[in-house]
Amino acid sequence: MDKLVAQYPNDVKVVFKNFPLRSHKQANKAALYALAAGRQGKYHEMHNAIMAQFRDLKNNEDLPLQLADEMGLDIQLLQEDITDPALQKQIYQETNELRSTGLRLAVPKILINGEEFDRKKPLEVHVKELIDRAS
Amino acid sequence: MKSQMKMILFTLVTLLLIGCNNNEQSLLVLIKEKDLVIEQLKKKNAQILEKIAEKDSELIKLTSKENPSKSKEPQQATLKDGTKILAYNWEIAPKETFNIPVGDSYYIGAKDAKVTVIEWMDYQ
Repeated sequence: MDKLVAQYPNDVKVVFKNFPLRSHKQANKAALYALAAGRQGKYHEMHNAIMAQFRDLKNNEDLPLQLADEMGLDIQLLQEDITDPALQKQIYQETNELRSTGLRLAVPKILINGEEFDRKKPLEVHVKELIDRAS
Repeated sequence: MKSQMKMILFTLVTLLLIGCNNNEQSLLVLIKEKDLVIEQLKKKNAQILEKIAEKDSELIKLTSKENPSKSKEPQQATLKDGTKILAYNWEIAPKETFNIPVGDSYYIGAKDAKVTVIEWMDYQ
């Protein structure tokens, strides 16, 4: 996604929405950490860092704390923020947005200009076509 | 004799009342048990749906790694009005457009971009 935006900085916007599966015990907490990092201006950095080490989350649900420390975030504030109901509410909101579509609840799920990405073509090719069409 | 009859009648009525009361109580217990079973089934159902979603996610990851254009299998989809469709060719299949707001979600890229990509994900 980063490459896509780097390639078309004026033409593409990538929105990240959470859909933590209940069977993935640490996923919801990781999402809370990412949103809390966002309050300190580091959402994307935290998002990418967790994604890069997602396998380690299973044995260490507080892995994001280590990552936050490396990023120089305020750890105490981060821990307070993950308990803020507003963040959990945002996750529910984002989850419900996918549910409201009636689409298959499998993640990652991608919509491009409101249409489900069918993966028939590589994402970048599909996006390029849409940009060309809109130009 | 009359008093004996009265006594017998009284006993019978009392037994009948106790019987009804016990019956009502046992029915309430039965209803509670059924409710419990329903709750357990609902929980199991939710767990199964989650597992299906999880497997679907794995499948998506695997097929996209293999070859995104390789999949020729028909795909099930549900339109917004609840209609189930089986699409063999997504190029001609009716595609629904969903209007999902950015809301408070984080994004990268230009605010007024021509193309908006929305990705739902989880971190595991």
